[in-house]
Amino acid sequence: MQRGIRGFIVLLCSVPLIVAVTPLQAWAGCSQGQRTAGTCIDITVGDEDVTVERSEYDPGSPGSSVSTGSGSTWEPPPIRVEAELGSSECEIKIDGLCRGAAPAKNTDQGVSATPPSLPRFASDLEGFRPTSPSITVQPDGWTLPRLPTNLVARAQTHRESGELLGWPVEVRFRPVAFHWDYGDGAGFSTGQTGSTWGELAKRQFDTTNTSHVYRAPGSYRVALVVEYDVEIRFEDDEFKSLEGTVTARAREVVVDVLTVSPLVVGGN
Amino acid sequence: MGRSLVIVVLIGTLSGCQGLTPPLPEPTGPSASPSSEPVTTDVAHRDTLPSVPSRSSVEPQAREHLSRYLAVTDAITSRGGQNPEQMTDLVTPDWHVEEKRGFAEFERQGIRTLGRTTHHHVLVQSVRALASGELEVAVFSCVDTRSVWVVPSDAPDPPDGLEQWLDDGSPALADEEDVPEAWQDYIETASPRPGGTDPVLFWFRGPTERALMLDFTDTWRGHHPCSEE
Repeated sequence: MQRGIRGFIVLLCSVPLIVAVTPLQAWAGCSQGQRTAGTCIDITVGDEDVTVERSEYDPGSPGSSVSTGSGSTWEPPPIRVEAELGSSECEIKIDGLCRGAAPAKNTDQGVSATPPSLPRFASDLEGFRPTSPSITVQPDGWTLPRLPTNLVARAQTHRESGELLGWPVEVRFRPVAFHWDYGDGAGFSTGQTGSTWGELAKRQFDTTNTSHVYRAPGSYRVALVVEYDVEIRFEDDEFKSLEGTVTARAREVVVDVLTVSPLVVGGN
Repeated sequence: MGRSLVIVVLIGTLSGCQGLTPPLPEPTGPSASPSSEPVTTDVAHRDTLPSVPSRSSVEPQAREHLSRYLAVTDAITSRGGQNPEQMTDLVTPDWHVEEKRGFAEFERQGIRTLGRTTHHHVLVQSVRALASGELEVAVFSCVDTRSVWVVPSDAPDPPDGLEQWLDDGSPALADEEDVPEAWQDYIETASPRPGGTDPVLFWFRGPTERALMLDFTDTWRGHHPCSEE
């Protein structure tokens, strides 16, 4: 029974089981064993209820067949139902895990396009980064020991535009925490950017919320890491906050703490 | 004179000749309102805050762990789901429950697999530090089971060469090549079901990128490249 063929065409026998469940049932994920066994449960949501559908297959059962045919070309099995893109029954979100089917990018078939779900974590946005913050030091580049040196973080809320999975998105970064490294072994974390003496109507070397006192002369490298909350939205949609923060590091600045030599002049 | 300059402080001018020692204020830390209580930390501690490995640096380990996970899955399913303990070291205890549930399905249905699961388009999507101090690595991959056949456990042993053909990715046969009759007989008897290509997100976690364990998987619903060859 030898036949010259290019490959097999495998006909699948699927027995769909429709099970109604409550909308509160959580998506459980599937192990690879479950995927291979064909028991990975897929969830769809209608207007009123949630439906769980799974396809079982019984190898060797009547009705299952594998045929071979002369002249047939090898046809890989189609992607399974749960991976199919753009199907109306998959345009849902459940606990952020079912991301809604996303049609292929640049579809020109008039299909109603549904954006993919937004990522859950700020750290997922590898393609988006906040602009680098900067540091303002007062006095500029030098200071005196045992006197408050004013350090101000320059970071503000800003937006970045780009694409996420082929869809235009807008990402908003909002600075929420500032981590200072003064270069002398001390550090400081705060939720404030700080302000210049001028902005605060204070005199030079006055203490501010973000000032630091160097105890000894020397040259110190000041570093700043800013944490940003992240919000994201697709076009014309509402901003959604993502979990976690992303960080951006400012360019280090060098502060020279000068040596003070008291000299009395004009004394009697 | 270097960077350490000498500043002559004109005490007479600044302090009105009130003494030889300038009245420098005592060192004070930054003051803050109660609503934004600052936290002063030592540098070493604070430097650990953003120190998360890059995506590219964890990719080799993630790729290796994914390969091992799929290989062990194939090994267990080829036995009809027996000895799921083989997976213990690769997954978290919570996820092992799900693994055992999947393998039990093989025993319940009386099925097993032939062939080898492969993966492609591996992409580390994120790396982050959990509150527990562990790393969490999210990996996207296309999981290809098109060369994995699900067959009845009581089906006869596959004929010579068939499993190797599957392990090789079941390449298309040449035009002039004949399919052995034994293969045809086996296929008609076992009615194998090949798998497909799934876009899957894997979440790994562990104390370091070298000690990751699978913690969860989910089907990716967005745009994906898995249908590309």
